[in-house]
Amino acid sequence: MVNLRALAETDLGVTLEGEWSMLVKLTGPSGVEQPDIPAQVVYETIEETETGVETIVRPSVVTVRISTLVTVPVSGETWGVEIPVSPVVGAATETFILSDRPLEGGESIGFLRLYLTKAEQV
Amino acid sequence: MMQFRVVKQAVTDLLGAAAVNRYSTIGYQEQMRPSNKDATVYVFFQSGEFPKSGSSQSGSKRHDITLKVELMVASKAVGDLAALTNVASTDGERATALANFDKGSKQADASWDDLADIIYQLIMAANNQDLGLAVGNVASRWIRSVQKETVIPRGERVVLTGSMDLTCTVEEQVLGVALVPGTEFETDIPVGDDPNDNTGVLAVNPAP
Repeated sequence: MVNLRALAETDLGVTLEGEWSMLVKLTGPSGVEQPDIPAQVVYETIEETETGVETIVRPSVVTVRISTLVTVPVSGETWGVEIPVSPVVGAATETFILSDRPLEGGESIGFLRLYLTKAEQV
Repeated sequence: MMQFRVVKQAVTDLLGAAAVNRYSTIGYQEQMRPSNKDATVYVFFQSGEFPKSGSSQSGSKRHDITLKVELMVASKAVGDLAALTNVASTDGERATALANFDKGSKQADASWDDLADIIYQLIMAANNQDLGLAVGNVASRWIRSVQKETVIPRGERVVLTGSMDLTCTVEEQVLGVALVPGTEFETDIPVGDDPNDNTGVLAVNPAP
């Protein structure tokens, strides 16, 4: 009998790492970088038509397949996450900090959802 | 215009004039609160009470108003982003940068306290006792309470809201159907046969 959880984890290779994926770079608390991690990236701004000001109301979210990672983020740790800000090939990237909001997902489901906070130079 | 509206606008103008790029001032509740502004102050009328008295039936009405002054900050994580993104940085330098990053929630907490400090000092300053209006328009200006809410993520920032209850007392006038206060009286009404005894009073409704 096919183990459905194992099958679902295999399917992540398509849903998270397939043609809709974008490459991100994770930097863990040890400073070690994990570049070129395929992930689903949601990053969206809304421009107020009256003022032209960009208003970001949707959180930036990166969803990664856990089995792809060498070191897995844990809630409470400080991680740097560099993402392309557009799906266009060669798009500029921006580095965010992992939010202190608890991570969603885990080993039992095979993926991790990372919420990002904008970072500012001190 | 009723006085509660005048006072609300006065508080909005008072805070707006003193902002000096430290915060934005908005005189109503926004449905979509943007998280791209570092600090925003919302001023709006929340509630009012009209204590009933004998004199208020025909005269001005005492109005004890409560204005809500909402404070919202939206903060980012702050740290050595340059060290984190520099391709020449070592693992140790990146680790140090990450370890010293202040999370957005910590920044938001400090920013909100700063904003509350500024706004309280402005509103309660002795020279703002009349909230920028002429003397006599406002009485008993008082910030009754301050409350900080729970930090929430919104967009790519951490948002923290809270509010102050600003109370004061004003006098409201009821202008009537013709929008003219009071009733007109004719006083040159002769009483009896003495043409010099014009002491009668006739109440005449004002013309529309």
